[in-house]
Amino acid sequence: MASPRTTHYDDVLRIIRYIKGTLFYGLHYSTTSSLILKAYFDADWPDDPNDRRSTTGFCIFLGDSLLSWCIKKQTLVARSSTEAEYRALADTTSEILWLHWLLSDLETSQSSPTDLYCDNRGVIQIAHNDVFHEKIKHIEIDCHIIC
Amino acid sequence: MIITGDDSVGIEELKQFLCQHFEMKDLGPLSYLLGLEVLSSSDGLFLSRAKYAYDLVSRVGHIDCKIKHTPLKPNICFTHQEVTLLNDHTLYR
Repeated sequence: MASPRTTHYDDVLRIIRYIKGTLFYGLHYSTTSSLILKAYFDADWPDDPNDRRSTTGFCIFLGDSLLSWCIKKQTLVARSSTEAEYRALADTTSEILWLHWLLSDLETSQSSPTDLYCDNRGVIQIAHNDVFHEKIKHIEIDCHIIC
Repeated sequence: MIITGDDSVGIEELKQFLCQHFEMKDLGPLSYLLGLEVLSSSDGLFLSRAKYAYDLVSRVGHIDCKIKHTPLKPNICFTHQEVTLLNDHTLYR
C-alpha cells in the first residue's frame, strides 16, 4: 500500500488485538475423520468502493478437517451479485478439481461428487440449468467449468 | 524434509537409505516446521502458529492491550478519500 492513512493503521492494530485473543487457535486433523470432501463458498458484491471488484471466499473440508481456504478479490468487476457468486463457485470448483487429483494421487479418490454449499438461489438455478440467458451470457466460460 | 506414511518399517528403511547417501540428521517426530507448530496425539494432529502470532504481537508492542473478538469492524469500507496520511509509513510494514 503506497499511502496508508491513519484509519488503516488503526485497523491493523485492531487485527493485532484480534490475533492476541486467538494465539492458541489452530487446526485439528482427526484420525477418525471421514475422507469425503465438502465445500462452502460465498461472495461479497461489490466489496471495494475503489475498484468495485467483488471478493470470493471459500473453505473446503475433508471430513471434519479444514483442508483448503481462500479469500481473494475477483479479477473482473461483476455486474450482479449472482455473477459475483457464480465466479466464486467457479473458483471453488477449480480448487475442488485440483484436490480431487491430489487425493487420487494419495489413493483416497472421491467416489461421489463433492457437495458444494452456498447461500444464493440464483447461482443454484444457473448451475442446474446451463441455458444461457441475457443476463449471464458474459459469464459463459465460468459456467462451462461447472456444468 | 518430512517423511510421512503408515508404514513405519518403510519409513525406517527410507531413512537408513538416505543416511547412507547423504549427510543428514534425524530430528525425530515433527513438532515445528517453518513457523508451524505440530502436536500429534492418538486422536490426530493439531496445527497452530502460536509462536509466530506471539512474535508478531510482541513486535507491535501491544502485549497488554485489550482483546478484540473480530478482526475488523462490521461493514467497514476502505477508501482513498481519507485525509489524514500516516506520518511514518514504516509503522505499517
